Amino acid sequence: MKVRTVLAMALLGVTLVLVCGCAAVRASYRTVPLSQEKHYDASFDATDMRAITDSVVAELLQSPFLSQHKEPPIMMVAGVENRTSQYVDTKNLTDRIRTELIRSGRVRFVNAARRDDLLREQGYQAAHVTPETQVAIGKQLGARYMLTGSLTEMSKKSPRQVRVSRQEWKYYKLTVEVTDLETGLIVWTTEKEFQREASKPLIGW
Amino acid sequence: MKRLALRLLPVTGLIALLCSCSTSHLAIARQNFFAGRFEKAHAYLGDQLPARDRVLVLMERGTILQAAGRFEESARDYIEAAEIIGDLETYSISKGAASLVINDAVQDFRGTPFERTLLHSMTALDHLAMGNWENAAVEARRIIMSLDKELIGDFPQDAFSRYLAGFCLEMVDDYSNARLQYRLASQYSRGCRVDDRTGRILPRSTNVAVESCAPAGECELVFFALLGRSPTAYQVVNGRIPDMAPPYVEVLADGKYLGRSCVLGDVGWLAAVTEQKLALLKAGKTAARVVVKETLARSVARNTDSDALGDLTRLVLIGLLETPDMRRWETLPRWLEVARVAAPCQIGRIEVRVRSAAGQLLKSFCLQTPIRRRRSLMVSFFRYPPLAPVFSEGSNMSARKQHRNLSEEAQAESIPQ
Repeated sequence: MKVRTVLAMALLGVTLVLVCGCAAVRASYRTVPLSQEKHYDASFDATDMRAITDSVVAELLQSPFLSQHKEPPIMMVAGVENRTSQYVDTKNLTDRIRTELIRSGRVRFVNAARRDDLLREQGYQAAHVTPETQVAIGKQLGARYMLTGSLTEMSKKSPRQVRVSRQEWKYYKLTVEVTDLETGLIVWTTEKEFQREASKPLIGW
Repeated sequence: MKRLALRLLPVTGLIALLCSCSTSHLAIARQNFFAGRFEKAHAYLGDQLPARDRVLVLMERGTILQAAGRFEESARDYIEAAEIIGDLETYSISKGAASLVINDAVQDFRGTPFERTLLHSMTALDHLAMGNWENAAVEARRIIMSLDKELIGDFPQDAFSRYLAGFCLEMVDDYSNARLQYRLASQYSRGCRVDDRTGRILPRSTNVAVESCAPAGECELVFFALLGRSPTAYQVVNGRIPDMAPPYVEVLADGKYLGRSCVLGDVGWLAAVTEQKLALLKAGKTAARVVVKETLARSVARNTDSDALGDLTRLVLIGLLETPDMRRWETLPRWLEVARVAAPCQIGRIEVRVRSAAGQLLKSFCLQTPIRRRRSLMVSFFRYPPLAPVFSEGSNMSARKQHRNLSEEAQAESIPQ
């Protein structure tokens, strides 16, 4: 009886050591390549944000609207409206579009979001800075175009019934528009859409 | 087996003790909340409370923070609660099995369907208070999803949340969906009718036609009034929800009467109907649990040859641990009311008068400015009782300062006509 108990305890000890040594139960981290696509559910995530913005930028850079300008046009970002049921940081989305467009050298942007800070700094410089390093007032460039958009979502969940998992289907669409500030005409627009289905277990340990 | 039974007893006793510890913290926090001591109430709801009550703690804490005017922190708590509820859709077999031997309180708290809807409504109010229209609209869409017929089945619809969802969508210019929500709010409201074109509200009893819109040159003030205390868990479980006539609020601007609120939601009614729907399910589960416990007690008696030990096991399992799950979101208000009135665009002083159903003045106080404004729509909300110190006349200085800052911000960010 005693031998059996000792053996059982030894077996338990070995199992515990093995389990503790297993990577699945240890805290760990690794840097994941940005290109790696990984979704845990049907919701809009960072991978989607990158893919969708890259696609918008690529299309805008190839558009006839941009080709017709000899000088890179000046734009301002007025924001993308979040019309989903998720907390999506749409500023993140427009920041990425703006960064990629600036990097391409084909579009210039005025910093409309920081206009108050700009004016404050100019005021400060006018009052306190030496004339040779002072920036001139009234020399800011005006934007010709305004970049706006909206992110929308449609979703459907599987109905109430006896089942072990729940299906969820989501459709997302990002619409981006460039509006001529002088005429008010939409001079360029695109839509990027995708849909995803996810399954969630309804019973777990 | 005898040893096992003897070991089982202290463990079950400990579980019972831990359950009561969490409950007492919540009870003290609620007492402080209703006494207007928000900081103290908040201090009792730290992260040390059991994980199974996390959602409830976040709901209560969010309400306390909202009443204290700490809208951002409140919204954070509510959003975390909603995320955990989403994760808890997966039924835990281990906790389900434990609930068959102990009681329902060992399972994670998810709230009832109406509580889950109101969680989004309260979050939307936080966003409105901060002027985050897009985030308020996100919560509006979540309210609509939580009230989906396929999801809630026969559980009651909440007209107030429908109205709030409509208003949040109206604030982001999504008029068609706003109209749909107003129409549904009117359909599900027991005491009011809502004009879906304008969002104006009138008691059903009156025959007065709803005004088409605010007169030219005037703005509209939408006032969400959260009145009274929701019934306690004891009242809900025992079917003793007080049948009271709802109070109402009158809104005055610069001494001029603008209009009064209308009851769109009654948490007492929502709780009572929900409890009725759940009663059969709960009774079945309790019966099954009692059978399991009785079998365990008999097994202990048989294996130990001791009837006394069997009785003791029975006493602990059925006598002590067999208690109903009393976890409810108790800091909710009882009546959820809305006043939507035409108001001058340059309001200097808004007076709010809380009156009993019989018209007796219960409380009168001033709001310096509506919390937020977008174009011609102004929005504000308040809770009575307890009055948030940011709004009450006898409030502490820091809270007053916070409110003043908020009002200044509101003025700065408001878009002039």
